[in-house]
Amino acid sequence: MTLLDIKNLRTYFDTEAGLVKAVDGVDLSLERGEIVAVVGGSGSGKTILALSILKLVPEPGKIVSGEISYNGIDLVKLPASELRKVRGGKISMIFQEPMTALNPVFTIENQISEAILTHDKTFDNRAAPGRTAELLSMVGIPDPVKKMKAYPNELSGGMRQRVMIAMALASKPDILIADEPTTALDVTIQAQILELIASLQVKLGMAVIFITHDFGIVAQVAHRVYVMHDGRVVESGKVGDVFERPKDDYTKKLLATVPVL
Amino acid sequence: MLLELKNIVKRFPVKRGFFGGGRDFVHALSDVSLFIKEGETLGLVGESGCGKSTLGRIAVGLYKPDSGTVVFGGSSKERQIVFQDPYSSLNPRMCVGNIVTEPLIINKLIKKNERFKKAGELLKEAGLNEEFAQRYPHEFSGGQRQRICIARAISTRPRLIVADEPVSSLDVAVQADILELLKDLQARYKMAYLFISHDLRVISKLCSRVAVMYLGKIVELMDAKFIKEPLHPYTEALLSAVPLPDPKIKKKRIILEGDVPSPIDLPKGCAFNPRCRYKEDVCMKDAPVLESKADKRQAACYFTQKVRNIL
Repeated sequence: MTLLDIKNLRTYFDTEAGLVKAVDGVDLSLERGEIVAVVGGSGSGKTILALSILKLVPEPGKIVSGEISYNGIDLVKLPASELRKVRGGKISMIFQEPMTALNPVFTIENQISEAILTHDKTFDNRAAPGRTAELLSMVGIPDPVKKMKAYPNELSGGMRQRVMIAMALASKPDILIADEPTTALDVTIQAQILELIASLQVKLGMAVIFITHDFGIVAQVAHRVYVMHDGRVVESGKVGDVFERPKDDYTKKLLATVPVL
Repeated sequence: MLLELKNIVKRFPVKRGFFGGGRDFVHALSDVSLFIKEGETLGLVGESGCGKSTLGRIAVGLYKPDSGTVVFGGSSKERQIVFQDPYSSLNPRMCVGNIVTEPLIINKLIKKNERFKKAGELLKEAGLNEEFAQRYPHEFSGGQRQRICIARAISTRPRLIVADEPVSSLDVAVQADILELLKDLQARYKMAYLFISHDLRVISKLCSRVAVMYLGKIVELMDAKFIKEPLHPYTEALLSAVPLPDPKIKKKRIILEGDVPSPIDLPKGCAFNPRCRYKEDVCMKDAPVLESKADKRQAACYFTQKVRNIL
């Protein structure tokens, strides 16, 4: 069975200025162990698509129709209590801005153990610190036992993003949604984080949905790609095929504007 | 020479602890020398915190260096700057027409009643609709706002524009349009640019010469045509980190370990040594100086011959 199967998803925003069709009839599928990129410019609807999968669409946005089937369960129809087990558990997300996504008044340990205790019942209060250190070392944070006592402001941007990834992995997710996780980072740190996500994906066998506006990153990490424009998927396919023979005009434009050395 | 910076040093004091006890300094720039010729584009590349924005602000006269000299061959209104964040660099209470003509009013170059006519012309040059002059910044997208910032910068017909990461908050398609606009304006008005960016791809599109900065120092200075054949290990690593838009190339990356060291406690010797894969004992003792190599290139490294061509 396909791990995640989105069919004809529509997420609309009914605003004073009129109806905004942020996601307008999107089909997307994701298999186990696969990295799929969703690429598009600002306002193409790629972030709202990601938020729709977790049913975190901000007001006044609403999923008006369609189906998001995870392991055969339709998340759109799932009641909130059931959804909570999936959201942040089986499907985790990391965001663009690691500073705003972390709580500044709690230590790294507080925040990661909360994720562990919420989603993984095999750990209790006593076992959580050990698991926290294990997760931090898995994402390549040196000296994790000391670093987990730190507050987010004491860490660099790259380290914060590693902490976010550790937190997302705490629940041993099937799917990791990464929304522009490297856009706010320097190129050398971006390279580290991309390498980390790719290696963790292989090691843990997760599926990854990678949202980006940069075709350079798509080429580097993804197996398949969906190109979004104005809320619709205008083209999709294997990364190699889309790069070699782009069919849609918008894809061609996006490819042409990727800066090359 | 349009602008000449010589031996620029700039440090910023930081507070330490509650009981004082000595002050620490962020060493933003340690002994930087650079020049910019009339009409050329010098690219300045480096990671966050390396001092490139500080250098840009010194070049435009917003900061005074602690020591060193800045010689600019023109008047103050002939130096302008475009900032990274087009959201915070436009006053939300001013209409666009007033924003783009403010430098002209301050310098008494036009009268107030000529403002909107002039604003229309400037907006048009930046590829915007003349009627936008009546509107306010919040009505515009990031790319349009950056065009407004550019219109403001060119209003006094400057000879030097410092562009501090002008496209890094924009998505790739919009980036390309803004770079094109900067190129067109340069061709028309023969301005020089100091173009600051962390993205080598953007730098290589626009610049004639490139300076690479690391922790407050220039570590390599070269003609843009040599950008793919770096001499300094840091430039090599920067180049290797660039994502290539070709899925067939699975290149062996040089992943730099760790983060940039704190500019408060600089490493002894070469500042890059904790992350360098070619380092030897000498690198931890004495800092190499920027010296001339072949092809009028300059690099601050003892072991430039070890750096391989990686692309």
